[in-house]
Amino acid sequence: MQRIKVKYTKGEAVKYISHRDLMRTFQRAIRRAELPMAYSQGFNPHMKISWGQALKVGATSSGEEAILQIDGWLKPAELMAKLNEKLPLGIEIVDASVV
Amino acid sequence: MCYNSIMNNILEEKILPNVMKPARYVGNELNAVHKDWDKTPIRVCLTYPDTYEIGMSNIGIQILYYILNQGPDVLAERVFAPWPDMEEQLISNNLPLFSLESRKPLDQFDLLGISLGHELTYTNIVNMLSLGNIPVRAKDRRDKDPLVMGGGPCVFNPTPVEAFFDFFVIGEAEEILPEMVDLFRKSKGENRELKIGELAKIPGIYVPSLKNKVKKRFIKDFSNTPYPTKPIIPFIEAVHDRAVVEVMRGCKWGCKFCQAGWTTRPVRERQMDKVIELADQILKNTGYEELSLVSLSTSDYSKISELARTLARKYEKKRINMSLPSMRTNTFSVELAKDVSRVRPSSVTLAPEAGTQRLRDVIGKQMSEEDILQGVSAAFTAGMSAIKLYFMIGLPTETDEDLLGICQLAKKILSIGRTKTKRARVTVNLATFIPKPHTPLQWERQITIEETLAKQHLIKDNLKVRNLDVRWHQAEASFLEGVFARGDQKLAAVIEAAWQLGCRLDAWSEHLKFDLWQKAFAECRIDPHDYLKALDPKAPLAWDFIDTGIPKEVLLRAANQG
Ligand code: SF4
Repeated sequence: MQRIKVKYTKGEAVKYISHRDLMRTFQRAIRRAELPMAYSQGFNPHMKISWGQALKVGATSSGEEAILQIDGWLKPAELMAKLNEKLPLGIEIVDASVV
Repeated sequence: MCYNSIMNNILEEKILPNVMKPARYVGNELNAVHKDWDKTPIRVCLTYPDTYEIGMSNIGIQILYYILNQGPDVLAERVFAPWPDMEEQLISNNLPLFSLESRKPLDQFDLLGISLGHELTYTNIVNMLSLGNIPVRAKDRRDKDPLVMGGGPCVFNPTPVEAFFDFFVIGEAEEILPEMVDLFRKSKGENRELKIGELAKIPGIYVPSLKNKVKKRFIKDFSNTPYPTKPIIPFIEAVHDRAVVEVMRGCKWGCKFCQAGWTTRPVRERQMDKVIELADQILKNTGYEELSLVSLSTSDYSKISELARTLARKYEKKRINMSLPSMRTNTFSVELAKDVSRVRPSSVTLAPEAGTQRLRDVIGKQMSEEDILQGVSAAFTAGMSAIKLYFMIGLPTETDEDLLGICQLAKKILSIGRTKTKRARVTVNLATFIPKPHTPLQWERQITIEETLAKQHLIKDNLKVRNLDVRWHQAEASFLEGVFARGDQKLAAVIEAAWQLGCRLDAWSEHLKFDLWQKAFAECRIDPHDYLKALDPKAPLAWDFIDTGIPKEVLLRAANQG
């Protein structure tokens, strides 16, 4: 188990996406990147991610944060590269570090 | 400053910050196709004329978008019906309705393709044409205006809306599209009449101004027909937000009320290896957490158990869930039920349609109570807890006994569920029977609003049970759907009048303004009840010019069986 904190942007192209939709978009990018995520147990398993404060719809940001729980071990730089390849225009990881 | 940048400014500064769900109008989704407008000579805009969330759930649009965008000289973009707040903003800012990708007004395209999926979207069509600066009636359009094409399930009787369309594609569009694009290549710059005349020569195309007879098109080689492996992934949650593989077209059952069943024949399956290959690619390209195998009746797929098992096992590790909508219980085993709920418990949907065996026989629904109970029990045993049941009310020869049969069946199912799980829950959905063109029941009468309400009450009063929910279609909506389903050319005036009076988004119960519709009918001196009466099997029908491949005599014979 390992926790990686990512700092990401929410740019013009996605500024009208709600926080909930952004979370879903992120999770799908993680699936496309085939990252080894940790999942919760139970009836409806979901990826273990802790999200920072929700940004207002319509606002852009250069430093949003989330913590991804990895099942196994991954270099933060590798996670960043893999994820950036799969994220849609407007969302970009600018920093990743183990916490 | 060019027009587009003025529009962008107004949109960004004034409109988008002030409308609900602005993401509906922004696009930029993953897998959306953006081509260079100026360098692409053939420009098509596609729409399902309802909100973004509804429209983006339509696989038809995704298929056409994919096929058209494969052409290097063709661009296909999308537009959806604006919510009333957006419509108001567009009008007050003097902006036309525009496409999501290039933000171009609708009148700048060569072709506007509209999917007719539901009769209650008809006012949206008129509204979108008008907001897009396209003359609403085809006869008022000039050479510079786009050609307006209709397709989808409702085109099997296009007459109520034909005044708004230049042409219709009757049946499946996959093979017609390349022929059509070819024609556009050759006739760029020609006048409208010439293009329309050429279009009418393509088999499967109906041109209202020429009144040509038309035979439905369908593809023969379904397995090798192009299918989008990179579907657009909406940012906002669409109604169906999941990977979808169409496994089969057509349905072998022939239930007498079912328009889809009678108009999509013959039955064609996609080969299993193709289904698996498509599922792999789509899941890889989208990251969806759910895979749905769709068709009219997925349990009839010849290797359904093998397919479900293969996919379920393959994707369990990736925590991808499988859903099989439109199952029939007689093929629903405990094993299959377990396969589809490996990751998350899913629910089962069943459509007995009628509450008694007698009435199921009358309407040709070949499903016995034994089948139903057995399948349901398999589902509960496999750990599913929610069962959704679909019934119709107002079927020919129906009595109170049949309606009470719905209640009894639902209660039986719930009690089976209770023996397996505390969480057992049954939902009963009641639709009003609507006689649809090209079905054996097309000559039947439709019940009135008052009758509908009385029947709904009878069922609700007899189903006051914990964990048993009843949902029903709004009686007024079914009334209008019935009028337009078997309507004729005279109704175009009513649709336009209703739109002028302010009717929009009629499929949304919160927006349906039935009093305005009544006013529109009155203004046009049309009694809508005339369209709900029983029809004389010997008299001509408004949709006789469409040949679905099934002669009227066959429908009549089927009507008299059982
Ligand atoms: S109701 Fe279902 S099973 Fe019957 S014909 Fe239609 S799609 Fe097939």
